[in-house]
Amino acid sequence: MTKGDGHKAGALIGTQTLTSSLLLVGAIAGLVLLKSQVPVFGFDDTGPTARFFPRIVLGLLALIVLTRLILNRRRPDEPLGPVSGWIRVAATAIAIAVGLGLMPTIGFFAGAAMAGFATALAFGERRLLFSAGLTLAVAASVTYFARDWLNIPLP
Amino acid sequence: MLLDAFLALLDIWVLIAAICGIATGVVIGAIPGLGPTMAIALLIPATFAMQPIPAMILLLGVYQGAIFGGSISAILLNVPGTPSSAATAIDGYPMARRGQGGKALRIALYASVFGNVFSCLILIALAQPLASLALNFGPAEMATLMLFALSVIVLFGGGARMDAAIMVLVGVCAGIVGLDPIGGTPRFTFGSFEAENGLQLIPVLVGLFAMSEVFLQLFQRPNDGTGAHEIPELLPSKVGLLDMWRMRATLLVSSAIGTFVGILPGIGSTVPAFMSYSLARSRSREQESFGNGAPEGVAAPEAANNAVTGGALVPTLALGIPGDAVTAVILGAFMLQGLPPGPFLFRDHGVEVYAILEALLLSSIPTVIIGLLVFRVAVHVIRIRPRHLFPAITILALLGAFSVNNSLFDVWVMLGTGFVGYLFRRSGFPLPPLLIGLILGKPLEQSLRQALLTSGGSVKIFFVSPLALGFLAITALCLIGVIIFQLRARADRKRA
Repeated sequence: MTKGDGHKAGALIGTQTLTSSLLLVGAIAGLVLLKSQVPVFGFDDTGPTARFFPRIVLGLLALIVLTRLILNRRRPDEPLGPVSGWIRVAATAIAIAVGLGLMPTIGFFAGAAMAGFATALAFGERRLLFSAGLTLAVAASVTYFARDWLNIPLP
Repeated sequence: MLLDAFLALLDIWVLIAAICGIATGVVIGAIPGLGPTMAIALLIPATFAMQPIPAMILLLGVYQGAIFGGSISAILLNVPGTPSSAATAIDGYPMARRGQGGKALRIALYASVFGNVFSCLILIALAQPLASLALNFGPAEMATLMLFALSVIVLFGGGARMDAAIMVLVGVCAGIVGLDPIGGTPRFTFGSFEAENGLQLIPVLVGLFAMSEVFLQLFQRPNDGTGAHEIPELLPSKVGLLDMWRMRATLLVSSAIGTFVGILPGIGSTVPAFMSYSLARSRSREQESFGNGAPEGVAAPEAANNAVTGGALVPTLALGIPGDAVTAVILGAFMLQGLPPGPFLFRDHGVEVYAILEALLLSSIPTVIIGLLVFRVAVHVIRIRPRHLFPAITILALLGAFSVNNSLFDVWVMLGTGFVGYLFRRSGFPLPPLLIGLILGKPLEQSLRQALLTSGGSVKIFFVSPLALGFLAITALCLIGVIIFQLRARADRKRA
């Protein structure tokens, strides 16, 4: 265990509880939003409507997740792990999202290279040749291959 | 049709595709963490400019090669490249430590090829009749069949059943996003026009299997220990036909286990690999040699996990129900090539499908040659550091997601599912049931609602058709059987 651990191994609240709780919230939100997000028109009323299947599936999901949370409440959970790990993942995801958000403006090559560069840095690569050079080379070859060989209209 | 299909294979591009696919698969499969699922998902864009036959042969070659490639790091480093190769490492690694790494790899290669040939023959024999039978299925039969398939994944997929059930339902929920399959009204699109197409399979796949792996590796940030592995010396060795003939019973039984377990949806190749290993050990006269470098301990799991290939393709091609995560990716690739898997595939694209199946069978020859040539190169590929590998995977994932519809929305979906996949993997939730739930969710809803519409909303329609009733009965029997088995196991534990 490293300094900054969110929870120790075998903690009662960990990633399983966190993920299950998020799923439960999502399923309940889906059920609440069902009426506004799934419009039903008059011609559908001869049989099951467009809300029929989502209602069953979301209801079942909420029920099973809730059962799981109750049954496992006293069992040791997967520890959340070091905070530094979560920061690395979140920072990389944000950097990729920024690269992706800028892609329509700066193009696929620059956006992808930015995402690759951020990933290399997050993995601890500090040598410019590998962190920038390698990702630029990969991004350039992927862009060339996609545009000129596969005729993909990259942004 | 078989002859027409064979003639379609007489093309230089088919041979090039097979060779490239197998070689790429062996190399990628050897790198721990990069399984065949990720390899195929990332290579799909490369097939867009290709004809369907070479394109599918390339991807299936990657599949075959990657499963053998997984055994390279398992045998030489005791680090399984794919989860199913963990069984191979039990005896492969002790052999390698004795200097018999080359012999173990050859046994693994020949056993892989045997398993592949066996399962391909079963695939060719079973898939078309099954598809013909399914042509007569109505919506009620299709709905109950898919319900049965999803139940099998939950009940027999291994791991916690409740987690598998949650993942199946999450996959089915993800399939709801987009236009309603009957009425065409938007559902959970939050006003986004692009979301009306729903969550596309390939971006979700790339996110779940490639991007989530990047995040997972980032979280763990391995201290580049892969480069520090000492590869045992490979002494000159030969494995003759006679050596393999002595293992014929093990090879046959293991291949049969792999093929038939592969046909069941959602179980994958890890379970049959361990089943075959256990069976080979229990049947052996030299049980004490197992775990200490028994050649049969390498051959059994390798034959089984390669035989899963053909077995898993039977329901994938004939019914559109993927057998595991890899066949789900292959199903997506078939759809992108204009060959939608399902009962109509053999009727409408018979020549193309048989050509692909024959190529899968014949590719055993290049697999042996390439496997023998490439495994020494693949050994060194294992040393590639994650800090150099994963940035490249990130860039390929961006392209893979974009290229399906030339849409940035799909890339956002890939990134989102990557993060969700990372959370699920960190929590120990299995991803293959989610994927299969996503694939089967929409057709299940469509069949279910079509059946209920034709019956005027009455559920009697599921009990009138003998086939639908049969599927429901089998599902119920499986469920009851599992409950009884669990209750007995719990009672035994209490008594002990």
